[in-house]
Amino acid sequence: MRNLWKVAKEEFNRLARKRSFILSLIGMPIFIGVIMAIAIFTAMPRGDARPLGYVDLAGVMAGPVAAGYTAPDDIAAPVSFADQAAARAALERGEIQGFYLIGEDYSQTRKLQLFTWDKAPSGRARNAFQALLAAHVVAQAPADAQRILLEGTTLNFRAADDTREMPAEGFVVAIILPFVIGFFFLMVVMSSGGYLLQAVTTEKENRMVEVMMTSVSPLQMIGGKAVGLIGVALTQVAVWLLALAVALVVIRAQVSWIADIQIPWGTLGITALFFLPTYVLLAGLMIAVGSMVTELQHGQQIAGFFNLLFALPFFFLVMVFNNPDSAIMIAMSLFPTTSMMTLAMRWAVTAVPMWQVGLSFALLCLAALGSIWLAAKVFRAGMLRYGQPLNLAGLREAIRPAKPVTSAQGAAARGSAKV
Amino acid sequence: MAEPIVSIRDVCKTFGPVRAVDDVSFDVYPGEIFGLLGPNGAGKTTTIRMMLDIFRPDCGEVRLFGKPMTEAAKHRIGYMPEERGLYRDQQLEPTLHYLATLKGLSEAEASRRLQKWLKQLDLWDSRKKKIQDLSRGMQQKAQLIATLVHEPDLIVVDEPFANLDPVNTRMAIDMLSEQAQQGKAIIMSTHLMYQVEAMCHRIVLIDKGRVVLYGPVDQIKREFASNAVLIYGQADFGSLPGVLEARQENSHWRLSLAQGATPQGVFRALAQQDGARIERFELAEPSLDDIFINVVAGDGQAPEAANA
Repeated sequence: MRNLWKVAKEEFNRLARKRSFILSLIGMPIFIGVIMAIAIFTAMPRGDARPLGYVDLAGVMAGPVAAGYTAPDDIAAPVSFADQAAARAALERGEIQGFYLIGEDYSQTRKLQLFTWDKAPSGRARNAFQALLAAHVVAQAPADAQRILLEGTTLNFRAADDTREMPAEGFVVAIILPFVIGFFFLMVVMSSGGYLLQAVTTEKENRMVEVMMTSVSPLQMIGGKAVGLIGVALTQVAVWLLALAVALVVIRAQVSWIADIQIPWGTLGITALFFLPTYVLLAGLMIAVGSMVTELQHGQQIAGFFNLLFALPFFFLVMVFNNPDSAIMIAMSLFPTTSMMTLAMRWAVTAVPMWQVGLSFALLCLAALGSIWLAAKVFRAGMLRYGQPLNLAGLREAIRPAKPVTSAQGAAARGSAKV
Repeated sequence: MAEPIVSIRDVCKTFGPVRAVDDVSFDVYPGEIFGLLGPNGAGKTTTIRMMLDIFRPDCGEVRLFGKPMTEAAKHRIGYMPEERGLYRDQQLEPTLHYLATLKGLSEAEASRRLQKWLKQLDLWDSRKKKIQDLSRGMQQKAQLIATLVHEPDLIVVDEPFANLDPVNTRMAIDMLSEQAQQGKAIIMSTHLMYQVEAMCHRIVLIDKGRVVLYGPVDQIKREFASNAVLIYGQADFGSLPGVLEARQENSHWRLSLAQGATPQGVFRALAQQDGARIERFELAEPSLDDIFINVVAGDGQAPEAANA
């Protein structure tokens, strides 16, 4: 066990000092920072703060406003003009960004005309006018209807088995979050896939296999490398998540809707539970591939196929939404390489039975441990093949249980050889 | 005699259609330098790899320190393979430190011993260099350190003097001899027969996967010795009783003896000959080089006693 940790520590240190890892580690926070800056920039009040004007020929704006109406405080209220000439004069003087003409037939047509000078008025100004117009239009309706018309309806989503409820504000986030998680996971898979392959090919290319094999067992070596690489991946994810959390805290102060986000803990919980064994499975498979091949480049070609297995749920997105409880979705929820992503996505749109989660997790853990065992076996068989990759026959031989060898069997073997 | 540190019994290994090792047996004892010899492709490296549990034998048995290989036993082995390797893009000292701790040394003890070894082998000033920036000779010395730093009881070295200049070769020889004097068992695989002759107590010669010679170097040389003597000096060698032929070779004479004649009889006859001047008298033993070529390139038959 001591040597397993030694190998893990060495692997972690070796990878964590690589320039490519450091670049990928800080690249994502920089990317998040740029996205955050763009979000803040788009959300920040800016541009033309002048109001819009209106000429009300229909008399809609003459009456009272609805009780629930609140004027926005970041832009001046729309200005009323008696006629089109007065409004146009104000526009020419630059006092307003433009003006709306509410025609006499507005009640029938619901059509407005917007007059501007050389550029369209800001969205804030148009929103402020439309909110005011709506407040006037619904003012005659009963109080309940006014509130519904102005604020819209609130939908609460409840799972069919009554176990989960999701308010409407959280629904979009709950749908998007699995994709964000999937994106992060694929980033981790792609960025660490190369390291996982290198973990073994490095030993081969440096001719270290024989020296290592007289110090540690194949399982200690492969297990240690897997643990070290998982440590690297977790560090990467932790740094990225920390950057994301910091970004959200910073952006929350600037963008109002961020504050309203309800975190879908269920999806996050599923992801947290499944991430580690999924990564162990990936590590085992990649190390096995690295053990079979003699050159990194050859390994990368095979590894691409395995990456695809982990990315498979993205190809079934339509089915996730249209038929999340179909047999294919259930099968993908149970299949170890696709279970994490599929369950996270299904969790957002359907009530996933707990037996599926439990069985999926058990299968994933078994597959993860099996992949490390397989990797150690394949490594042992392929470790000294410097110029010749391990073929399928060799692979079959590697995973076949070893027969105990005794002197008597040796004698028998010699006898048969002579015959 | 002490219990053998290595005991190999009837091991064999087949790769596809090739029987790489066939029925090989030998023992290695504490305090001896044991030569594992053979031509290229004879099965030496495969035998070493089976001995060290890198390959599993198809048949036969390998015992190290009286037991089948265990993880604990690995800490008592120092192995320098023919395929030299260290992490080329890593610094020298951290790499050696890592390898030393894998062999069971504590961090502090590994650091302490490495300081001593690096200084002794003139690598101290290069300890921060990347291994790929070291000369091949320096890398070879680094390999020796990795092999010996944990003070193993069994040292297996494959072509230990390759890439070393004469000074460093002498230093490596001294180091290995010192280890043997301390009771360590050393298995040395090399093609340099004069080194084997100078250093090894016993040898095993493998050819085409089979043992063709096994025993003490002196005994093997005696077994292969022809019935002849080498004499430095001047005398009427041709007239000596029992001498079939006297032939001058460089600075000495080779006297081939008749069946039944003994070197002692020739020596006595020489001593009685008037005017004979003898500077040196010795049995004409073949070199290990000669024996190697004779056995491997010849008919492959060794005298019965030597192959016992």
